[in-house]
Amino acid sequence: MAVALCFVGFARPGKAGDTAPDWLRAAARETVPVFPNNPVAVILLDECSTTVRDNGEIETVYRRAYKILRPEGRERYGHLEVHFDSDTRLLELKAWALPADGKEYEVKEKDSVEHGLVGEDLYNDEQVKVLDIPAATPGNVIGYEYSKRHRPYLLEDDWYFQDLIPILRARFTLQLPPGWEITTRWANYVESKEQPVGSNSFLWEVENIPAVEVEPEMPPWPAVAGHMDVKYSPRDPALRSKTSGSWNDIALWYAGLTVSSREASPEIKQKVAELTAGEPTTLDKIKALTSFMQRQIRYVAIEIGIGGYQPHPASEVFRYRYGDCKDKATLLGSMLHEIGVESYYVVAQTDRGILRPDFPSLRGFNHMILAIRLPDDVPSAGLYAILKHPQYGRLLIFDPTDPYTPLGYIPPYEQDNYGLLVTPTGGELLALPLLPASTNRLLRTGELTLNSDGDLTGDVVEIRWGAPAVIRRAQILETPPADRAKIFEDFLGYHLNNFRLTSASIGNLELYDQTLELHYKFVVQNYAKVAGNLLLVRPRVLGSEGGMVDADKPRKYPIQFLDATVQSDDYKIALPAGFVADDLPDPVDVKTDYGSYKSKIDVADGSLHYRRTFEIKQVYIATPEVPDLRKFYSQISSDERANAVLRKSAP
Amino acid sequence: MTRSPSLVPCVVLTLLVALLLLPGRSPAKDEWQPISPADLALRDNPAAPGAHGMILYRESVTNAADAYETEYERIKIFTEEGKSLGDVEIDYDSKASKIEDIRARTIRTDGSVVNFDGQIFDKEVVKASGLKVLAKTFSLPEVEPGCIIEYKYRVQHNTDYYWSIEWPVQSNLFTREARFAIKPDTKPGAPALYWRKYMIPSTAKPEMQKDGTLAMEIQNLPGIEEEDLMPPESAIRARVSFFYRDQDDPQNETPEQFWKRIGKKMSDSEEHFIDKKGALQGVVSQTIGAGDSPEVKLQKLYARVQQIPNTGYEVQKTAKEEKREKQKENNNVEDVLKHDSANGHQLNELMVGLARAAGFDSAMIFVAPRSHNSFYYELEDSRQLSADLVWVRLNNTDVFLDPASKYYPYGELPWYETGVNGLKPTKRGADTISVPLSKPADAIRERHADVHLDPDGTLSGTVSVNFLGEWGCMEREYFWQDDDIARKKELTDDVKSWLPGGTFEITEMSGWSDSSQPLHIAGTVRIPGFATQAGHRALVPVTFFRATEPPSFTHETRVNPIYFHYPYTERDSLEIHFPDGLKVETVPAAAKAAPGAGFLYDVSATQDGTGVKMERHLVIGGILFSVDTYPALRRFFNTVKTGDDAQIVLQPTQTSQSR
Repeated sequence: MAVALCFVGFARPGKAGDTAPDWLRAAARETVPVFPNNPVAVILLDECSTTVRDNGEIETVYRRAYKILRPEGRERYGHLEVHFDSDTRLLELKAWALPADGKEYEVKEKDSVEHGLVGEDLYNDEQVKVLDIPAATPGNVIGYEYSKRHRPYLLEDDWYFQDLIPILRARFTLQLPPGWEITTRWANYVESKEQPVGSNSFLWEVENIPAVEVEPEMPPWPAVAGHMDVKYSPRDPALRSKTSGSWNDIALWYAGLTVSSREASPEIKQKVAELTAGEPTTLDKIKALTSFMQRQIRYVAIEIGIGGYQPHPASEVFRYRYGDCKDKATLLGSMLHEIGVESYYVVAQTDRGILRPDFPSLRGFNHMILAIRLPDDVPSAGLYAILKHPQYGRLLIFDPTDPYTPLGYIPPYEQDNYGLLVTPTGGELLALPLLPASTNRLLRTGELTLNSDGDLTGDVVEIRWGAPAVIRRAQILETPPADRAKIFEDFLGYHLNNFRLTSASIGNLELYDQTLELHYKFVVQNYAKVAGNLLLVRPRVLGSEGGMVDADKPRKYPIQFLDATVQSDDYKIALPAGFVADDLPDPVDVKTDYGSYKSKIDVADGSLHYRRTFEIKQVYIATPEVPDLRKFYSQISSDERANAVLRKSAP
Repeated sequence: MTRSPSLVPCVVLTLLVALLLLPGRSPAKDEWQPISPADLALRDNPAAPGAHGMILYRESVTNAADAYETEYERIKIFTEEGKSLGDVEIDYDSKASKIEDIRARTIRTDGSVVNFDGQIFDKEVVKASGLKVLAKTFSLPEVEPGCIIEYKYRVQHNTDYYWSIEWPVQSNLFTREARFAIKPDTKPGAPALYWRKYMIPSTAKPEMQKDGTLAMEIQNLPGIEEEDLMPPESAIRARVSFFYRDQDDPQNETPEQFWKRIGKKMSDSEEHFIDKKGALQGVVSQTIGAGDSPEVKLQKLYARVQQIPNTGYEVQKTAKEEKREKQKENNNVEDVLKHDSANGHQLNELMVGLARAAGFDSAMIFVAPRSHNSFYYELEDSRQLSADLVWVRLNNTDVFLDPASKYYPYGELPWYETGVNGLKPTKRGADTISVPLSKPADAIRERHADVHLDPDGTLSGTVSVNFLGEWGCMEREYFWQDDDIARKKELTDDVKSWLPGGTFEITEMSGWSDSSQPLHIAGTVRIPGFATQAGHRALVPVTFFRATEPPSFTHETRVNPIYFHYPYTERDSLEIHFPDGLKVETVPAAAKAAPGAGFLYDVSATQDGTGVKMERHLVIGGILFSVDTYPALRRFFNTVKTGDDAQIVLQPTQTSQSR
């Protein structure tokens, strides 16, 4: 009965008066149970009704009813934000409030405020309408309804039915034209089977959906929130090309969209000749072009309509010397072609856990990188991001948008992720590699001297490879040269009190394919604490690996690390004359499947010698392993805080 | 209580003054100034090396009569990251103005020119009823280190009103040379144009030129650099703003004449609202007793005013709610009493009326709140005085009150209303007045921990925190819209941020509704691994609570003055008990620093049986310190951090050692 009522009641929003609609009143009568964790509000009803037309046009009506439970609920749910763009028409927008002790409110689109989407883009056509809902105070029920119409480039959709607060009931109804078919996939939730509610009409309903709890280092929202992906297969064969049946279908669609984008203009050809003229090998030529792309073509995103997917022509990108990720991939592909090296688009995602190989879809992508088909004369040494493809041989994955990650590496967020290889004849989903920990290294070596007052002088050299080099290089280059000493001071200030940076130099800053080398000297007053005739010295002078020890409550979601890495510290601290080590911290040696930590301190030739190595081999820690991970980090934290006790030897 | 500027009689007209004459229009010009070889060769700014870019020249010319502005900017790019300066965004209100004649070009390092011929986009910033703010966005071509970019455009405003005119002289980039000019409207009937300058070097000011324009040139102006603990931007950014004076008002007044006239107007307005002796007398007689001391009388009247619901502390309503719940208008203090509801300004006016009715000399005073700006007497702009207070003469001393600040009891003021200057309007004019800065003892945070160490190094026990005086008021005001669940969660996070890990759970919370009492929280703490191992010894931090000072003194150099919002005191104490088998080997020596200016730090620990007791005091004695005092302040905070970092050394007792 409830199903039938719901479907019948879900016609296009009619011209209601200034009173709340029946569906909202019905939702307001729901009994709200007591929830754990004191949510600020509860969603009484989340309803989404989609009508697909034979011409591929999709119209969706969204409804939500909330009961505000706490004052914070007003701030978080007392307004409605609706996004739309030049391809999506917002048809209707209304909201209501049912105060527990007063007259109902209704607000409409004319009461809303519209603004552009704030982001990095120089221009995009996405707009947001914000509508404040009156009387969103504890005890009151509020609700809204809006509808949108669009004609998507690919016939795909999704229905997210989980939120940061509990949901009592969520429904999705779908009306398809005769002869159309659907494919669905449920993610992060137990599947609820569809219920037929009419001719080629379906309904899905889920009840008592718990809130998603936000935890640090958790996977991205689409990887944890319950949702259903939908693909529509039209009856009309002409529209079938808009159905993403397989990864190959999507790749073909994209190949068609970009078929003429890479044509090289005479200016591009001339520039390629100029850049590669003095380069002796194919690899050197490739490096010259990738370096040009990273440094000379700046990131400027202009996305309008299909421009969200379709790159600007290479000639245009070259002419203006700017473009977004797909523009940069396009121009680089064009330039590589001029030296006889082929390359293919790889449509990518910058968060892990969103793309699912078993459900081909365009919706999971947000980035574009390139797969460079390496000719036989290019050696693999030093090129870590190579995939061996049965048809195309060695494919070197490269991100021309990342200004600092050199050829041979890919940014951490693209590792252990997926990308859609797009070739002129189709494509496939590639599993992008997780680069080994040994490629992302940091080695910090310090020669330090302690005096009898506890003051320390330090001379430290840091060598960084891979991601640690990229991260620090980016930070330094993005800081005006006059302020770069502050980066060293901030780092030292995190570990030391009462210090003064006496010198700092940076090696290979602009040689992105070389290690980044930082050399700095400092003095610290009262580094060692005087305690009677003892001096207390923390041997781990700099560097911190011991985070992630918050043990407040059981973990619900897995933990994601940025990358696999090996980081080492090696400090020699010359002791003041007349002092001997009286007590030393014990060595630590922990090994797990995902990482290891080893530290050791000894005394020789009048110096304390502290060495430690921290390694993370995996980027994904499953929830059952989290307690063990906490223990792992707790041991690291203890080691980092441990002190050696020096005693003044007899005179 | 801060309030909207519109409550002060408005003497400037920046908007909506009709212009009778039709505009002229300057033709767009596409001429560019010559580029010097030296500028092309420039690789860094010799006057301030190490920036991503600098403004070589900018020119802003305003024609007030024809309601248009022309802007021109030439920028040198020094670094790769400076290339983003080639992305330009010009915001404008599309209902009141339009951007025309945008021209831009890039001059390569070899002197060749690439004219901008790309697309200019209209990006929507915000659109609402009666408002549509757009931004013209474009990106210059071939921007690379060493190149020069330049662009110019014209802003044509609607001619049926005046618009706010300001020369934003200082930007975030170093400006080598800039010229600003304005041609006032001199047609008959046009209002006179005045200017005021903020933080402009004394060598520069707008000067009248022969052609009737006001112009100012400025050279070598550093960019604004953002730092922690810096004064509000309005207090440091150089700018010139222009305003029109009402034609009915006297022209060319001295500051004294201006404030006298304004003071009279303000006084008249206040007296009109307050002067309801009959109604006030009734309240006074119901509220105070004949035997009360003068201060007790004031306290009772203050409490009475704070009983009236303050609309400033109601949850912000939507336009629709406000329309429906239209509040009854208060035209005088009698209405306030009758409607039992008022805004903050009206409550302060009621306080003045009640104090007077009780026999006190009392008046409204208006100040520039430190959260926004300072009061410049020579700047003839009453909008500076956007906060109001109550002045009362009590036992030959000046007392400043703000009952409109709901969470501040008698004697406490919000920090931004202390240490400020303003005016006391009178029937004859206005007296300048200063509200004293609060003292460190007026804002106190007390933290106490009573804990014991387990043999495995885990620390357990209780922690209590009291927020006293102004500090408690600030906490209450910060949380006023929240329920206890939200307060508990945020305060738990605060306490956890002071601890080296572990858990903290609040078990007691009190004082939210009574501002005269400390705001108090207490709870239980458990920190595994609190003691660190050093061979057979164990070490325990003596201060327990981690230093909470911001890392503002990490850098050796500083550009801006150092600004604390208010003086304050931290009092921490710790009682820690150790398990059998461990004895105290050493406790850290006492440390103290008293560098003057009211700053003080002292920490001391003493052995007490099987445990240690620690006391720590930190006093921040002032609010504003010039850059040259930065090294001394840095030394002081380094001493604090070093003292806080000291450790208690424990060693096994002989019995346990032998075990």
